[in-house]
Amino acid sequence: MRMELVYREISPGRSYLKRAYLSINLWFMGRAIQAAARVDDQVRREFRSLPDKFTFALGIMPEGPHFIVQKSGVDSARYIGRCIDAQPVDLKMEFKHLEAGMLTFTFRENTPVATARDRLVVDGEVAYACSVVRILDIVQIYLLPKLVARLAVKRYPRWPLGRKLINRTRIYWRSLIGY
Amino acid sequence: MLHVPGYYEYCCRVKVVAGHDVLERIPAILERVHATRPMIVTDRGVAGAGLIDVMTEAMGDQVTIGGIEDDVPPDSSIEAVRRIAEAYRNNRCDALIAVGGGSVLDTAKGANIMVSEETDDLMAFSGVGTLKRRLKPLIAIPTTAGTGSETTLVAVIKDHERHQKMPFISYFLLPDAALLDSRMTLTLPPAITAATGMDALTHAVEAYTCLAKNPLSDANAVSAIELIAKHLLPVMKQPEDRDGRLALAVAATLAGMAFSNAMVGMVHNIGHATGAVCGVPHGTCMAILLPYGLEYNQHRNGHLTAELLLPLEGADTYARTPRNQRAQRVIARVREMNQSLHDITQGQHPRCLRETYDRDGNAAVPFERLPDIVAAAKNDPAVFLNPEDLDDEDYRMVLEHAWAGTPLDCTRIKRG
Amino acid sequence: MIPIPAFFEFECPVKTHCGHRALDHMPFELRAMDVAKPLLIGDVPASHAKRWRPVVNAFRDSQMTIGVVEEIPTDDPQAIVRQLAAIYRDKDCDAIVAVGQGPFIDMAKWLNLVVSTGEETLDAITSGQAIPRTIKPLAVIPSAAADGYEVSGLLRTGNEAVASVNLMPQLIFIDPRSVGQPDDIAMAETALMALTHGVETFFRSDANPMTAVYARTATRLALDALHQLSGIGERGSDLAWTVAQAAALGGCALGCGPCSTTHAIGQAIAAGGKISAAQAAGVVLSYALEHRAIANNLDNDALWGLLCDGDHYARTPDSQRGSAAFYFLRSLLNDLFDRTDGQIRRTLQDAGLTREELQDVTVLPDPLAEEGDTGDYATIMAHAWDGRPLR
Repeated sequence: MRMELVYREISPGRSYLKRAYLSINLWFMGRAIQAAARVDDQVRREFRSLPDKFTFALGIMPEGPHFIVQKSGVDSARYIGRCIDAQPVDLKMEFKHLEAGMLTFTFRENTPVATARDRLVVDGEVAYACSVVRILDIVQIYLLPKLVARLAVKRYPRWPLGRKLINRTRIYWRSLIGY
Repeated sequence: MLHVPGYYEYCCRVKVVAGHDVLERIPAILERVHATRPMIVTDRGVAGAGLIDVMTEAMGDQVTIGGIEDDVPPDSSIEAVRRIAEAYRNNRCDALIAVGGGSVLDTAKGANIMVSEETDDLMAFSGVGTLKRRLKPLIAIPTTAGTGSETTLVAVIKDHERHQKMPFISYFLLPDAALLDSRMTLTLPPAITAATGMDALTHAVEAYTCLAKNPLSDANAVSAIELIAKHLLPVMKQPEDRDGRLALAVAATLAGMAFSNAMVGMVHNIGHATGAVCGVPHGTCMAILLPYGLEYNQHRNGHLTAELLLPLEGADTYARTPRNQRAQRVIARVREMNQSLHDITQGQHPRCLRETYDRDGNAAVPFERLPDIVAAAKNDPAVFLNPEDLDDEDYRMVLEHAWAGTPLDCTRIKRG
Repeated sequence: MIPIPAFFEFECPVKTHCGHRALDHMPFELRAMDVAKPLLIGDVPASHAKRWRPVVNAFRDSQMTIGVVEEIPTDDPQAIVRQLAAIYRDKDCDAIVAVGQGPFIDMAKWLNLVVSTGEETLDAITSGQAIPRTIKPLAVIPSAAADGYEVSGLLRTGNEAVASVNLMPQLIFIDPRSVGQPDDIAMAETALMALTHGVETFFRSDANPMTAVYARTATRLALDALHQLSGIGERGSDLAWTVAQAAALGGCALGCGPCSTTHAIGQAIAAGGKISAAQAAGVVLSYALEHRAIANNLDNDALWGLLCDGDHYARTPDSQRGSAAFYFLRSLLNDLFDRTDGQIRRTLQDAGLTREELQDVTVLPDPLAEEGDTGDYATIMAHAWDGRPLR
């Protein structure tokens, strides 16, 4: 006798641990951008080239964790939260899924590789995306130890020791206290 | 020579119809997409060259043309899109045929969004993933064997009021068919044949040597390079060569498939900027800058460049050239091609930026403008997938050499 | 290089997602096609080979609800398609994700036709009309044990075969986690079939530079896998993934075009039950090609260029490229034979076929074979039987 086919409906769950890990990383990165814009000249120059009140977000699709940063003043930035729907965003850079975010935030795929592998979607004016990517690169170089940062960026820069050590400490502090 | 990355995506959904008598098949192709009243979108250059007449004659009276819009501006603007959408509605058309290069096709894609989504607010559909369903049938007929834009799922429309270039990205923007007919490129002037041929070559070479390559885009690229290497110079000498023209058109589409999947690198990056700042045609920039891109990236991807010697010069030269000299030989070969094109066009095909001129005969790229090009290049995303990074100093160095036409000093290239 | 025909058409609607974490891209891709609730269907081997779990898990964090039916038998396609179609409609599904191989994927294509057109039988669907362009989304998760037709535009069931480019899945996801880990024999057979698809479509009468892209890539991947399986090449951890890629891209190359001599002979011999169609095709391939070369109907340069890397190709003198290619294909089978203790056959004789049995084999041109492809089947089979070169 023929077996009846069994239909089931599944609402696959969420990976709470991974979401939490990415949320913390993104939160810290958002705050680090705010801090770097106060500390590093190059980051300030990049912000200066962006339009007033320019808002950008980096995060995970669909409705995953994000950070949103807005240009404030002439060349500084403000971390303004994690909720992507709360305000209009000029430039959105999103990983297509949680696992893609995990690959990048566990340093197994850097941003160029994630882009090459079609894991990242950029939505908005691409000219500004270039500035944002440079900002993210600099922030990563500050936040990560050299061994890891070398994997994260295409070319590890030769900065004077002072810039690296002093600014790194300042950025870490400011990110933590949110100033 | 099989390079399989850890992850890749590949898609070339556009239907390609190629041959010497494809125009005659347009009625049948329209019938397949259930369209009876197409609107033809083109620009003055194409119409002026008589190509629309060639096309309508070939189609005969089997199709009622709903209208011909032949004044698409060189940069696809929102005004042109609106005008065409309105004409489409007024003339009750049911399909679009875009005849021309990238800007014509982009404009037609924009108009297609407006008429298919029945909207007046085109910008509401910009970005990724906003289009959710099939649009009206769109047929692309390229008239230069170079851009490969018939294979891309992107349209870029300029909003002059807001000074923005808005991208629209969706698989629904792919044309329903791309028609390659040798007659559409038969009358292309020599300098444009040269520039567009080198444009296609650059698409293929960058797709093969930059970061987003995959085995399928590689196969596209290698075939394109082989065809261009074999046919470009002969077609320059014998412009009436129909088979050669068709081969170049097919090569350009293959190269388009390669770069729309594997993307491009610094040659396009600096080329886009040079075009934007100084108005040098895209293909010309590509031809001049290609050897510099290969030289600059050589410490990263020289082994890939070396592999291209086989499609570029054939088995004998490949076997004869020691492995560690193949990349150099590829770069030299590209320069030789530029030199030959320069000779055949009596100097119209420039070998370096210094040799480019605007319509009035003035230098198109004065040396003083190089810093402006650097500034523009920094805001062009094509550099994302270049194997090596570039800072201001690097851009400047590459541009200075490309301006003067001297090879790069490899000792000055920074290695990360 | 293959010459450019004076006229050709090319179409391949498949979007390939291939590699590490490929499955995780599925929800994004489905959403882009406006899919809200896909129906996952899997055959019995898929569930047993644990290929199923990663596919379901790929929908974690996607906020999509999915319908699933697993362990679907393939013995009575018509009845099963009818049941699945009822489920698809009742549960408001709007796309199919099929995890399986061979006849099961044929069933998935059929199901997609049924839910897209509303017709129940293949006859009703195809009688008097072409298969519609606006077919519902179908995603296929290929396996390393495949018959090579999964991703093609062919739908074969019983004695019927329908071909349309619109039958090809729009999305394929080749993820190392979901290709399965079949044994070496199954992988070698899959790779041999992919090799045959690649090489034959490369030289098919309707070949063009664009089909050649898929054909070339499938051939190179299949050869890479066969080298690993035969012990010539170092065995990588991603062997099964390579095999699945070769099979899937071979299907893309095949498209909805005609099958050729090797397939027709392979099928006919396999019908005798002594050797699988894939192995038979693998054995016959070099002889069918050589037969074509003798009839001056094959570009030896292009064949050798297809089979080996640039350095090998360039170092082989022009006049020897043809014989190098045939020798290469045969020695590959010899190596596989040695490595698998004779389970992969070098010749038809190895498979236990007798000359008499061979004479009884009737090669029916494939229902989709090229017109005029009568082929000198007897000669090709005779040489494939004892492994004598034709020249």
